[in-house]
Amino acid sequence: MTYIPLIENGHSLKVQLCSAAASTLIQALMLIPSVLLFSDRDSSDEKGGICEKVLAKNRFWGYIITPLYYIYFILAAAFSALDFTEFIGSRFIGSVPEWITLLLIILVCLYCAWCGIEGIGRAAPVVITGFIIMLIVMLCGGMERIDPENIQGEFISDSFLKALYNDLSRSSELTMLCFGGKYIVNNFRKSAYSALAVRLVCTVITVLGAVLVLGDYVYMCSYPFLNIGSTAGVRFLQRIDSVYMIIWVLAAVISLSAALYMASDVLKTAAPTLKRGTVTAVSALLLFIAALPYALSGKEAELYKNISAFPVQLVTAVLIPLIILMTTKKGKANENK
Amino acid sequence: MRTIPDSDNFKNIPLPLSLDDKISDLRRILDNSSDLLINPIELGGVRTALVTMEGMVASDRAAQMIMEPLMEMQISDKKVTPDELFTFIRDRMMMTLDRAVSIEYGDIMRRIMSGFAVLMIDGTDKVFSLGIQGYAIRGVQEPSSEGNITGAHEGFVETVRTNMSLLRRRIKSPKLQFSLFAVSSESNVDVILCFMADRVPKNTVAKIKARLEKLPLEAVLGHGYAEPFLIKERLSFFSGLTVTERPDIMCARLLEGRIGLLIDGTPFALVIPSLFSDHFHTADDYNFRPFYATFIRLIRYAAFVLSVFLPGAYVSAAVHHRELLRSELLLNLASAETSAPLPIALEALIVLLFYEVIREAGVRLPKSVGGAVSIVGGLIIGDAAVTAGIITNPMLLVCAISVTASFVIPSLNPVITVTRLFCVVLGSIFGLYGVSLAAAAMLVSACSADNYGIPLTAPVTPMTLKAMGDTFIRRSLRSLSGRHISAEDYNGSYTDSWEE
Repeated sequence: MTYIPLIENGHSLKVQLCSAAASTLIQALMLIPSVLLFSDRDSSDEKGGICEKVLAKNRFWGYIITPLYYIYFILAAAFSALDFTEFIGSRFIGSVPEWITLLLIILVCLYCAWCGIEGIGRAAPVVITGFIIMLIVMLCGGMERIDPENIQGEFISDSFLKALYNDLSRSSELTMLCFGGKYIVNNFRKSAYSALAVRLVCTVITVLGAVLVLGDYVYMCSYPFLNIGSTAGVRFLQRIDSVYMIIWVLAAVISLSAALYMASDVLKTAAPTLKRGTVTAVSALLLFIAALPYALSGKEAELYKNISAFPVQLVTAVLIPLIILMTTKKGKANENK
Repeated sequence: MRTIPDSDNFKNIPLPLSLDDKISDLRRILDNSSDLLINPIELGGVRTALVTMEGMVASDRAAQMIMEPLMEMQISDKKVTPDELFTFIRDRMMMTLDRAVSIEYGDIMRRIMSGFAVLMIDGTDKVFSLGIQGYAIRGVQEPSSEGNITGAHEGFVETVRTNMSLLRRRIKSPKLQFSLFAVSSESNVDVILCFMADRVPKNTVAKIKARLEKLPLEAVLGHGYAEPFLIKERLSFFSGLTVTERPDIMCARLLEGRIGLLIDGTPFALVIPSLFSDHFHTADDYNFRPFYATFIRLIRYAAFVLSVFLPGAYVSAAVHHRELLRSELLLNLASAETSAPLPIALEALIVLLFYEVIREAGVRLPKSVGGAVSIVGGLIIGDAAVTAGIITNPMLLVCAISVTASFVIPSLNPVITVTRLFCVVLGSIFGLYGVSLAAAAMLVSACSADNYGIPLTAPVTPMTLKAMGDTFIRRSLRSLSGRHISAEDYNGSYTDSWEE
């Protein structure tokens, strides 16, 4: 949910929209093993997640895969936190050192993770609704600046592929979606595909709005949606980009808290004797330690742009669930024989 | 060899046959307490004694309903055995409607101290407990904490049996069931679980009852004593239970499939489990036309947001996000703030904390003096602070709006008070980023609270569409009547049943 669509120079509206749709389609295909894995559960292992299943089948592979997921969640959370901290620092409160901004959001996420995944899961639809309402309000505010000529542009296949890869590289939530299957007892398929659909809708509204309102200026903005807010005003507010930031913070807290909770869940699976509060606090501390050097150096944006989550996601969101699914099916087939 | 009871160990000890032993046991248990009254009397040649506690029974009712029939009773000309006397009283004499036979000291002590008269008979190991309570009680009055315009003006009182009758009068259905039992080791307070038998799973009631019976407390003197033991231990600001002083509200909740807990000695009843939207619904909503009820509800939700976030948002906009405000408004604020000697966040904290001091003084002081506190605190000191230039007018206005808005939802006052101060502090240091983080923490906190499988934030999230007609808006009763909602319908995707 901290996902911000990148609108790069040379990527026309058509390219942006097509790449978003194609990326969603690819992610929907990548989700198939997890959907089958979690939709095919019998009542005895309803609560079992990926790590529990691997540990139950093969302890050797379990002790390799469990740390892999733990590191993934900590690093994914750290990257998101750094990206978010940079966004807040550069656009809103430059006077506060970035490491303090980072510490504050990690503390709030620690509290949210302590509250439990149910709370985080229930808060997410509220934030999504607020996000869409805010986006529409901003678009209405910038309505008079909308120029239909802005949507003109060519479809270049090279740009399309680049935009598609960008989109897939920045969709770090896919692994969280697969891993989160264990928390959703009823109809994981519906929940997972709804999440992808909502993400696509938000991306389309943001990109469409940004290009329609800002035109070519969009390619010069780091955060085009904020620039719509800067130009849009209501009767008693000069600009509403700061108000939009509220929703963005809420989204970031939900996303980071979910990653933190999942990391602590992995740790709890590996070390069941530790208390939930302890594993969450340890994970939050590690998250802070992982992000701190970049927050102090101010090079977080560079780091984020140079790392692609896509190859890792192929392993964590596709390959591992697929192997578990196949071994489960094979085991069941042997049992039936 | 019989066990001799004393004040520490008497609950499960059976009664002896001898009347003298029973009386001496009672005196020992109560350590010859001055309020123990023992009246010996001979009936049909059998020695008996009527035991009461001073001030707990109605003397005139004791004379009319117990003493007079006992003195006039004719069993036979010859003397009777203790068992014959016991059987005669049990089968032929009514005396009071509320009567029971007890065989253990624990039960007898609880009844004596609840205003029963206990009739002991020499030669039997059973006694009669006769309900002739006559202690001073407060009459049914208008609730002090939940006012309304068009609804009933009756509120719960401190006597649990009266409260039970207030509910029964409104729901004359056999499905409304009451389960009365005593809790806590020393105070032995009567509590009543009430529920609609067809709408609440039996094992949920049993689970709540078991939790109450195991309360590790010496006394239950209010609803707050029981509450922590009935909710999940989470770090949430919000409780999964609400409190009501109104029987009509309680009846509405019972009909929605919730469970009520009435506690003797307090006019506040607990609703288990509760929803966040309960705080924004009043009895009046259902007496007004839907358009007005909806309007008032939306005002209440807006008031909650204003009361929590307005001072924090104002401070953060003034300190960090001046670009948010239109230049005319900004110039007005700037002209006011330039003359103020204190930082704007400190101003806000002073005003809000001072309001809490005035409020607390007004609540604790006798009512005759409480009014004077608000005049001195609110008008004189407030006016002097503005005139002296310590506090600016815009800040006073913002804080006053926030405080007044919080009056709309008194049941959420503890949450509002603390989070409002947090928002001011975070807003002053981190701007809207800090306020947003506080909002995120509050949102997750509210969403994480649930009890017995019912999320506090239902039916909004997880969404139950058919309940949305009576959440933010209030559809007409004609359309709501076709879509009855029970607590079980609020199950989220995370829980399989009503159970935890």
